[in-house]
Amino acid sequence: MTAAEAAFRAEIRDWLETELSGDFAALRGSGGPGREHEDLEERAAWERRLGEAGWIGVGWPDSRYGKALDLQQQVVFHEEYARAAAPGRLGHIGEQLLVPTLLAHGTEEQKARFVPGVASGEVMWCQGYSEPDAGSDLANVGTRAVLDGDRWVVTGQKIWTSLAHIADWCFVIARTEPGSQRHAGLSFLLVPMDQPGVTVRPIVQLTGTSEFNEVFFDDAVAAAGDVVGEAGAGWRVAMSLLGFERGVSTLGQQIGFTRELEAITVRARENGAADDPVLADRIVSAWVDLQVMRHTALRTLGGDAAREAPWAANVSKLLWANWHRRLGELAMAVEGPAAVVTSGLPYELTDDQRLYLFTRADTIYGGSNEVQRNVLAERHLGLPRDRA
Amino acid sequence: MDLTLTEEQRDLRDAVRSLLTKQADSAAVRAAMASPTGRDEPLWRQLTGELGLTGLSVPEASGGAGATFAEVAVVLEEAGAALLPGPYASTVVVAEVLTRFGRTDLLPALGDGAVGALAQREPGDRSWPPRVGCVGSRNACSWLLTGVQAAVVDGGAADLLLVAAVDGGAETLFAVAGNAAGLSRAAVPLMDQTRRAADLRFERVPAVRVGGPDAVAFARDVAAVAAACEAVGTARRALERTVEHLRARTQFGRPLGSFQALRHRAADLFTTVEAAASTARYAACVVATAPDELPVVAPLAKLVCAQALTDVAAEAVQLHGGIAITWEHDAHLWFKRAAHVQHTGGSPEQLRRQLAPAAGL
Repeated sequence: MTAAEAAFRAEIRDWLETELSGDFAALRGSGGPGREHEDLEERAAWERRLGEAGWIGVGWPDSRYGKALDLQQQVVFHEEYARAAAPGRLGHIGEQLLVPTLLAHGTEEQKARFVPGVASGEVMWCQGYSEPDAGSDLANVGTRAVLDGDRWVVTGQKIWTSLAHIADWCFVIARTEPGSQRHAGLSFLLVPMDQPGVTVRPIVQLTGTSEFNEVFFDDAVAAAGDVVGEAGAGWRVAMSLLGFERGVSTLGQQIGFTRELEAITVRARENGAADDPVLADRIVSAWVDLQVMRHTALRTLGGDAAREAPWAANVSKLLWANWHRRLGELAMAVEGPAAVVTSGLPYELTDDQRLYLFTRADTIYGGSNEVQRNVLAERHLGLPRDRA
Repeated sequence: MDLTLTEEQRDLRDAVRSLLTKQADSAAVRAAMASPTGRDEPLWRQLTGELGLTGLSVPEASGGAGATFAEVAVVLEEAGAALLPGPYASTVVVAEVLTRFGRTDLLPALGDGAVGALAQREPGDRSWPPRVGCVGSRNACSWLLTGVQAAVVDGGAADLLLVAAVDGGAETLFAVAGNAAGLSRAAVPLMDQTRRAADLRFERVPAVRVGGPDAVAFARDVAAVAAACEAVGTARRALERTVEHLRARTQFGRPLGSFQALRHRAADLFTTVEAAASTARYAACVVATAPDELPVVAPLAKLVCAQALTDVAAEAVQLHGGIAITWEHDAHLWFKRAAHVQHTGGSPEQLRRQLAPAAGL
């Protein structure tokens, strides 16, 4: 570690330590996948605090809007954020998906209008991609938008929309050319959520809590100018955001994983599960695979990773999602028969149970395992497409 | 730690790959397998003499190229990809150990194709880390080594052997010349015919002390990392060949690779191989720059990469179908290499037990 890196690490660590000792102390460990329902108001305040201090959008490649940190500094930021058990972000959809898309495809006017709200932690976004009939087959989008004078009129339904219930805006893929098929004729629209034509209905998940929603657009309106890229060219814009995540946050995510595995390991020592050599072997396997993920992340973040590891996004998604799902199974196995008892009524799950249940979603959202495998097979192994 | 290849490493890889594609294709490998020495002599002379690849990480002052084990790892991957018969891995492990412990004076003439080998196991021993049963005793001017070692890879051809022995209760690493008095060597046949091995008997053989328990452990760890790098190379090549087969082979009027059941298996193998390759690369960089991490990273790399090769080789056989059961196709060579790597240098279960403390158990 260089002296500059160490100083930078200390700066972030000190800031987080100070902030998370005061008003926000109770937020350590709050939120994140599987616990998005927790402390919504307090976490919204935390977002604004992050924004005030300039810790939102540290990786945006445009220094007009953020710190424009280099890759190593971004990794350090995410690592320290995870190490401090700072709260799960509410603004990550705007920060990591919307703004990079705007910076790549938006007009200067759009950037000036939308980026500062995300940077300050005040404006929340959600992602309107999936639909009931367009899950893994995303190009089967049925939501329509028709230009009517100076506005788009949007009709249709989105689903699995994370955090729509707190979002101010939604970026929506909609079909803007009537009769168009598949990837053609789609547009990337910016739609305000607070209007009569938008209805959000939470989906109660297997954990009993909600972080995904259904979003209904019934003649909802968006300004005519709030289309990113050209109208009809939305597929390219929509897909480009999949390439923005180079795995910078992966090393931070792995610190959270390490913490989860450590808790399970300690529990196994305490309750005697570790005396079972088969369970002990599974625990070590989980630890081994976590090290392998770390090495893979380091390799895909290296100087020449774009050339050496163009498959990084797909490989790391498969690795972490499968690993995390197995960890949920391991947590239950370590707990043994007591694993089936919840912590209380009406349906208060234990950490193990929440992990076990919600990690089933990991291998489905953000491109299911099956979609990742298809992408690897077609783009990186050069295998022919499956015939319907 | 940046784990991507440097420009120089990329050039090295391309040069070695290009050479081995020409000189160590399937026919050449099979010819070497069937030859008395188990290697292609002109190719070995070229690799060691002209290219100096066994001395890659040896300091220039000691006649080497002054690179690091990260560069050696690049060559090991290519050797593994080609299933290059011959003592490349064994020799670079010995060179690395002697360099680390400041005993490059003991190095045999690497530029003339000299061979090194590390003895790791006594007959009948199935423990890991292996039992150290050889005994070193001091006489007036040197040590004398007594004991037996089983199926030492490249032990028959080695000009210099590294052997662990107990000296006054402490594990000690000794170097023994291949032609030393009192050393007898008997070839033993292996299922993986791309390798050669020998049983060794030491009866009061003159030996030189290389180092203590840390040298014994370092030698074992570097051998594990070398095995991991080779295994990744073999796994990657076996997968490439399997994917080519899935593209080219047509059944039911369509390429096999268009069947999702098969595409997904290929994609999973790709993930397995690239993840293992990351760990092998990390381990090679640890040998080069951060040996403190080696006691954990070396068994980890061997565990992960041997398992990756085992998985890929087994699937390569299945996905190739009947042709893979023939002697003619290379699939059995990958499959046999996988078994060799998996069952030597610690079983998966033993390596996980070794890693348990690092995992918090």
